[in-house]
Amino acid sequence: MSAPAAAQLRDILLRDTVRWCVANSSFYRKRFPAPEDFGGLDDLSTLPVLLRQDVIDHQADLLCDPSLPAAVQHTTGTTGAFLELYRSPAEQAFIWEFFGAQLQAAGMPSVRPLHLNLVNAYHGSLTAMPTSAYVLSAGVYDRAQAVQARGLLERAHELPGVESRVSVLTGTERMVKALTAYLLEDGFDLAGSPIRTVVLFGGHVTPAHKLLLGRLWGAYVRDVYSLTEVVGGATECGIGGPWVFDPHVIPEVVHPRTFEPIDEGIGVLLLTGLYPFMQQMPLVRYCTNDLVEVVVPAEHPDGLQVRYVGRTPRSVIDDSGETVKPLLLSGPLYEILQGIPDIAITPRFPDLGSGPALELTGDHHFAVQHESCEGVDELTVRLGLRYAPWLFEHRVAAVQAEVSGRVLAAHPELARRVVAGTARLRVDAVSATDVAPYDSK
Amino acid sequence: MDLAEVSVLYRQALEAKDEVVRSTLAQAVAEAGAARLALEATHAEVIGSSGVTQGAAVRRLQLQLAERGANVRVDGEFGPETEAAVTEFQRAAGLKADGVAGPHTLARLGGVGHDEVGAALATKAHAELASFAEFSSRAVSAGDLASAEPLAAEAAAAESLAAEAIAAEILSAEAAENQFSSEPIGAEAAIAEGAAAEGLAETSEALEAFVAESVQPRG
Repeated sequence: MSAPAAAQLRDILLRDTVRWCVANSSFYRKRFPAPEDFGGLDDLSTLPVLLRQDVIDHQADLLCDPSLPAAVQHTTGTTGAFLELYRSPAEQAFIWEFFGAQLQAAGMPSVRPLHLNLVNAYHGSLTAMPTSAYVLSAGVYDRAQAVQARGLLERAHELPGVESRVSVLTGTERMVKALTAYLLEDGFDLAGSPIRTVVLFGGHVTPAHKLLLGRLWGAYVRDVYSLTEVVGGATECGIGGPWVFDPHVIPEVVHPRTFEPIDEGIGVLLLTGLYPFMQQMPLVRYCTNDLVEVVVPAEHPDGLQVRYVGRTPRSVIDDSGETVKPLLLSGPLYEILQGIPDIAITPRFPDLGSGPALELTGDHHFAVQHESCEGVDELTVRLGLRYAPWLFEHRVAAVQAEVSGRVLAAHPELARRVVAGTARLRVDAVSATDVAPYDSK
Repeated sequence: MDLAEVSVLYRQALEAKDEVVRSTLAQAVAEAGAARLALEATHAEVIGSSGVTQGAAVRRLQLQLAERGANVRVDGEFGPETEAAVTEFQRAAGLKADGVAGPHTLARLGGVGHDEVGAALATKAHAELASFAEFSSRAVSAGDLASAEPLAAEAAAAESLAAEAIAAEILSAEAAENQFSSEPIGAEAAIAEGAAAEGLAETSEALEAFVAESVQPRG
């Protein structure tokens, strides 16, 4: 059983990371103990948590290498300011060489699979990673790019030692959905195409939409947890299953208020990127703002496994006690509202056309408000409808009842408090123009 | 840092990770398979001495009887207590009072709406399962993927997890059904919904308990 190998690897690399940070970054020098006083993995929880705002406020001091970066990457900025991430030439070179060597050791397939990667314009210049696949790229931001992507899917390619047809489609949720919707509108036979796997990364995709994509493409959908900020992510065990983390990243789940490690229930996910996979801008105990439920605790020989439940800024939780009580989690709420066709959707890719399928990529109009008044939590879900609510009063009442019932069914703690009179749930229905589009991030 | 040592550890750790993913999936398949059986069992046509006498269908029947005020334990066993409660319900509903819950009794207990929703979702579940089974076999027959085996396992898990999702959907649909018949949302209605959600949680627990029971004898 090689499970301890991950712990051993992480311990070695974490000690190196602290040594590297203290030697090269004034920011980390103030926060970290001397490397000789640091006990590795066992001492990780003694290091301070790194918030996104810390990174923004102290970016210059945080850098471990002042040289010109080989690549500048950035987050999409959907939850605030863009966060810039620097990758040094040495770091890029290491990643290429290390994973290239791993690939050689594992052996290349006799026929390389042909992938189509849908590029995302928001993340800057990406870090090249060696792969056994041969990767084609296309955009989906406008019709011309989508037409090109369709052409790449339809064509037989003559590349020596490579599959003749694209068999794997990769991209962020938005990109894959945009292409899917465009092709559907264009009469493309998705299920008849040779695509056998769809790989999603870079954002939360609801299980319902993964099943939908799988059904439409007649393909297996694989979801990969990844952040622009940290090298290394996690693999989902089936659709809706728990996430298992890569060995070159250290995950932790902590209490959102106290930052104390927790081994059951809901907490916020921290990730530590490790030297030498991260060199110019290593992030140690970086707060992802993702709320997760512990499925298997870190102490288990199999390592930590979690399930995504929402985003901290978009969820309502009671973190006053040792155990977090979730009142309204953005993950389940988004999944519930995705299934209500009355809610207005602002399309993300208007250049691809105005067909209804393109609503698959759009943002639903809804918002959550939370107020505490004399010990009672008042939660309001505001729905922006496609129609004026006063036009269809009975339908509006049915939508409100459905949303209310499903929200309560998905949040037993909220239901308990509603019964006890310490929480109230309102579902308000208004016109689409009265509620801004919501982004699942 | 000794890079050679790091490389070896990384390879070992990656293999361990793959193994964890595989075993987690296998476990999910087993559990979801049981959930699927539970899904089918909850739609049994006859419950009682001449039909199903234990399991999720019985548990569901007991929950429905208890919701209507019957003094019956929700344990998944069709004993004299449950039989008496069925007889009492049949008598009150003007049905043949034989203590066996057949289609008429079950329809009256669950309501026609429930049966329609259940049948529609069961059909949908089977369609989903069939299509995922096809993806799985396609992945295996493609044969050119380095990870054909884990991929097939994952596809199978996805297939089975779909059943779980559908089972959850049935429970949610029932809750939504109840909501539609209630008054427009107000404080009182919200409290009633809370109580309904509690009942739903209980039903989910009952289903989970059934799954656990179903898995055990197989193990």
